[in-house]
Amino acid sequence: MMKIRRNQMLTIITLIVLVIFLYWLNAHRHQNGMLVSVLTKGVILSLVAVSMNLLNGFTGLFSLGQAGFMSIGAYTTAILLIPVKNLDGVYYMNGISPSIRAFKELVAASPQAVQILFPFFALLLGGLLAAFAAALVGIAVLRLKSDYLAIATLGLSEIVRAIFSSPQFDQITNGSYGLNKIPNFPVMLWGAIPSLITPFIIVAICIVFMVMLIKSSYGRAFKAIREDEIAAQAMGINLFKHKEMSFVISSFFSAISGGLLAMYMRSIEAKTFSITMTYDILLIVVIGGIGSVTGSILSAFLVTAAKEWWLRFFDQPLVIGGWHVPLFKTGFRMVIFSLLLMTVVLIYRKGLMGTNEFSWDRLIARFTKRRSAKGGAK
Amino acid sequence: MSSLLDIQDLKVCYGGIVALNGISFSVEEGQIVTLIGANGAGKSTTLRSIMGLVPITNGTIMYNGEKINGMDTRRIVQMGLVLVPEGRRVFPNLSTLENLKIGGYLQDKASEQRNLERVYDLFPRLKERYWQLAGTLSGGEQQMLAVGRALMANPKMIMMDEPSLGLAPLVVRDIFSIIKKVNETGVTVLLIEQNANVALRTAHQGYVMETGNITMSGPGMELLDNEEVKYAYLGKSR
Repeated sequence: MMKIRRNQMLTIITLIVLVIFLYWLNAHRHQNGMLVSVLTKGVILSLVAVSMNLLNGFTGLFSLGQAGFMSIGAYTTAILLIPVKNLDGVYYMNGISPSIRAFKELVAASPQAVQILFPFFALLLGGLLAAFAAALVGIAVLRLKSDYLAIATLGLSEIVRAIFSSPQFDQITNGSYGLNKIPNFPVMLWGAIPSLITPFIIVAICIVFMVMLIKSSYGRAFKAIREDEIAAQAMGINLFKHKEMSFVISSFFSAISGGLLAMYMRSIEAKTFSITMTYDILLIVVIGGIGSVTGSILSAFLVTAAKEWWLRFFDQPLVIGGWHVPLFKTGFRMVIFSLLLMTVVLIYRKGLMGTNEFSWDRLIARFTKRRSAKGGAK
Repeated sequence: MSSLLDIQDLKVCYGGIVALNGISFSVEEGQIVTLIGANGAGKSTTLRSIMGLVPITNGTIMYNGEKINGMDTRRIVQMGLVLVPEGRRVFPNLSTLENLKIGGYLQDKASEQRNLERVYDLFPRLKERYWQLAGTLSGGEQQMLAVGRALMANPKMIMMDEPSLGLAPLVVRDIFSIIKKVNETGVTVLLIEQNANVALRTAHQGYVMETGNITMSGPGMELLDNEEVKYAYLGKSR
């Protein structure tokens, strides 16, 4: 009982510290540009990583379609949110479809309340479209297993990308020119939550939902399917229903993350959501530990920070005492990054967290163990 | 007395190969019934087709007065007929408790708790090890867990596919005493075994299967004394 109380206290304190930190960061965002962008990108990637983990780690469906669903979310959000006044500039080659323009003008002329909520509606719609696409496709591809499912979903993701960049959709997706002038994150609660903090709130809500799902009896059924399909079926678990559910939910949250990514990057093109994107997410999931939500979140931040920030100096020319150190030039960072990845995977064979979740008990035990020599392990 | 499970002329084909060639047998309520036979006789196929995991070609499967062939596995489990699959098939990376809870997947919260207590009563060992990953339990404990997991569905009848597979003789004895104990709580048991000796000693009624057909039947002890059975399954030389 005492332990539970203590852990709750620690969690609440940590959350408060995080919130205070975010508000501090918001006030000093201009001096900490790099930190802000790494944290924002990290939090967006952590959402898609957790959603991929739900599918790959918890349900055991090896799917590589994340980028495709992200692009559905990103494009929906972008098309709906580009301000009317910028439309001609964005769609300068082919013009925009008149019905979309009419709809956007309608929204722009609607009451303030609608306009405030509209960005969230756009994110939600992107998620729902992706979920719908996943539900349709799932009927066909979820019959496949392991590697075959991976290849089918990979192909699916590429098809989505090809459709978005095809000339037939020039007036909607602007084809291969991509979309820009996408507005930044909206503020929430009439400005009480500034635009910088919005993605953190949205991602937190989404991840909490997924954690609750995993802890429910549905989550247990997902894990049973991952462990042994035949035994799960013999327990009366409907395999298809649960696989489809996991696939649809995972796609929904991938699309939300895609929409947030569009707001963060301010401009997107179909190429952004190529296979490389899925691999980056897979990398985060594997490094964090397949089957660990906190692992995915942790590694989303670590991988983003390492890739975009901490290793930057490897890209700069380095001169020590007049000696120009070789290799230190643009691109060297990625070599070091790859080496680091290999090292991490070799040391932590099951990812940083394995299948464990973060717990205060374990963290505290880790520190106290060192002090009191060798305690009884359990 | 009416049978709980009644199978008539059951035929199952895998592609062009006939696995079950029109077998008929029945299981009386409250009994332990065993199907014995060599590898490939079609024992596992029988159980899997009853559970609706394998499509059947012909025949009827009546359970508790209802025709269940072609029915969804989920419905069959809800009706109180559960399978303990061959090779135990516990979920290795989940804890003992999680395994048990998945067994009671179709039950509501209140009966889940009731069933859990019942299983812990039968298998105190599982209670001791509730936090342990199922894959790290010993073979005998895993078999207990597999039986416990099936009991979580609050079954009327439980079907076991080779519970003695890969276990030491002493552990096999334990498992069979567990089966008897489960049966004494009112659960009907259909048991599939290669270990004919123990199975026939435990069972009220026995059937002998050979390449897709039932060739002999009778009370367990009677079959045990049968010369043919002794020769074919109990290692007696003619």
